[in-house]
Amino acid sequence: MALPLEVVGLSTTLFTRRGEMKAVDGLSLSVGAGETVALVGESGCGKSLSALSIMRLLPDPPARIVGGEVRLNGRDLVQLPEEGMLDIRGQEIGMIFQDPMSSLNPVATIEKQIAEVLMTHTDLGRGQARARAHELLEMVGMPDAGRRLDAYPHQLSGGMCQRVVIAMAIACSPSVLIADEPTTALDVTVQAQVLALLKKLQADAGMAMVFITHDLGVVAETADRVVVMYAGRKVEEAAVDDLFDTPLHPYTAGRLVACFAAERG
Amino acid sequence: MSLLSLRDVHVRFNTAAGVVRAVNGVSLDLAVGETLGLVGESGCGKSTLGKAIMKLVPIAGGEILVEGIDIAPLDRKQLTDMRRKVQMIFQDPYGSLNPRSTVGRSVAQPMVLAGWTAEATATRVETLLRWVGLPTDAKQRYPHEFSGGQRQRIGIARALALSPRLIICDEPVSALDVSVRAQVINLLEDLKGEFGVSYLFISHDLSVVEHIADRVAVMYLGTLAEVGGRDQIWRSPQHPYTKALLAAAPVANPRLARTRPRTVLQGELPSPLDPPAGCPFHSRCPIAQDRCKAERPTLRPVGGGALAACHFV
Repeated sequence: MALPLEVVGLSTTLFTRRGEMKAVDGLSLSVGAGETVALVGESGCGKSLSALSIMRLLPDPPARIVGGEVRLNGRDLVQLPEEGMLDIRGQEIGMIFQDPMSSLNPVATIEKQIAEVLMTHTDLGRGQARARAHELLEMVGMPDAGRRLDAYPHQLSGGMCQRVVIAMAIACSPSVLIADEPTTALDVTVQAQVLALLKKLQADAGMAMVFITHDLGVVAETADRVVVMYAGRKVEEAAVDDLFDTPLHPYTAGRLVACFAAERG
Repeated sequence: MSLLSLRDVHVRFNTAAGVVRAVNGVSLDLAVGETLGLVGESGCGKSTLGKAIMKLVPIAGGEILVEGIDIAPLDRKQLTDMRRKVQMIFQDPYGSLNPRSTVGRSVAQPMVLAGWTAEATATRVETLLRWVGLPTDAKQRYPHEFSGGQRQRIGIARALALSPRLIICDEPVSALDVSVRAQVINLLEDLKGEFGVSYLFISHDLSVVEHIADRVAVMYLGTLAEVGGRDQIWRSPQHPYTKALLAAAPVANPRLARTRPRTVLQGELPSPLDPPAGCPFHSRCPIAQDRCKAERPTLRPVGGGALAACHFV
């Protein structure tokens, strides 16, 4: 059986006035069902652009996928027309963005935003979608879920907004979830809550998860395998224990040292 | 005498929804040459407290003493003198520099305001840029030409301009990438060694505070939960909130991450518009009892030189 997500030699180039930039350069990775692969690297190394390339969310121009395949349950997304992608996003592959405040529509209620996902991809009517939205909010541990349905994003805290974004991403039980720095904007206590929630949801549904982060502490807490990126390329891939025990690439080693130096003093 | 002394400081904001008690009775001392870390979740009042010390927001009660002088009654002229002693570095290195001013002009501003000659100012700007590790030609360039880490260095140069005694660092590395973060932290430590400046280091990032602070104050909902030496707090935190906060931080060790016991703090910070009666932490506290709902605990010694505000430690 095909893996939920298999990326082979994915290359994305940005065509700008100042020249071409290989933002993602031959990236390959695969994620099994129920597995979490962390994609790590510092700002600007191409982690987020890789995620957006997988989701085909990059604007062309300037960005174009110039090579490679993104196989979702065996089907190559790169070759798919945009209309085909509309059915797939939110349905088979969900995404959680870094900044929960700006990834929600400020002028629509929480219920409307979750129901939109459900009504686009399923046959649920408005009433059923509302009931399902309520269920989803309870599933992601939203306090006082019934009352929050009619709230607007500005009335919720960052942690609560991120729960809404997660509820939207898992609304149609996707087989793959891409989480792009889902806890970077949150406090440690709320971060711990959100990480525990994602782990639980993943265990329940057997989702394949790509977890993008620059925080090696978060990697240690969540990942099964780790892919390290530098300047658009994969420089190392290892099981999480092996990576922390014996980092092979000098960049990974340097990164770990920087991280421990910051932690141990 | 303490460099900075806070005595029962209160800050309130009047909003359409009611009075927000952002800082609710904080007492704290900072000694010369000391780095005090102030930690807590977003919205706990730590940045407001920093701004109150700079007199950027008015206090509603209590006293703030800088080198023994109460800053509340100071007039404009005296305030200028005070600000020479106490400077601030802001979180957002993009928003805290004027985009239309060259770096040289931004860094020179404190000297201009202090009435230095053009010549002395120019020399000082060059020295400052060298101290913070920026090329001298930086002074003719504009903020957008620099990376986040470099801009934070510019902010540090500006804060150092008039040789302050105390620098309030409000989340100075939160907006920076990990590798750059370490460089800026090291720079702050070097400057401390060289100039004997003290820091009030405000951060929600515990690993950074563990690295840089001598003492740590943990803030929750406008009040102090615990104050103590860095090692003491990390080795044996006493207040249940301090314990939860330290336990929530991810550890960069996968085996330890899987096996260590973890109590995830439930719920969120209550609204400071309507803080819980009694102990502010009782609504999320794992060991709360009836007494906590009625009676607000005060800071008291809990051993190892630390103070904690809890009835049951």
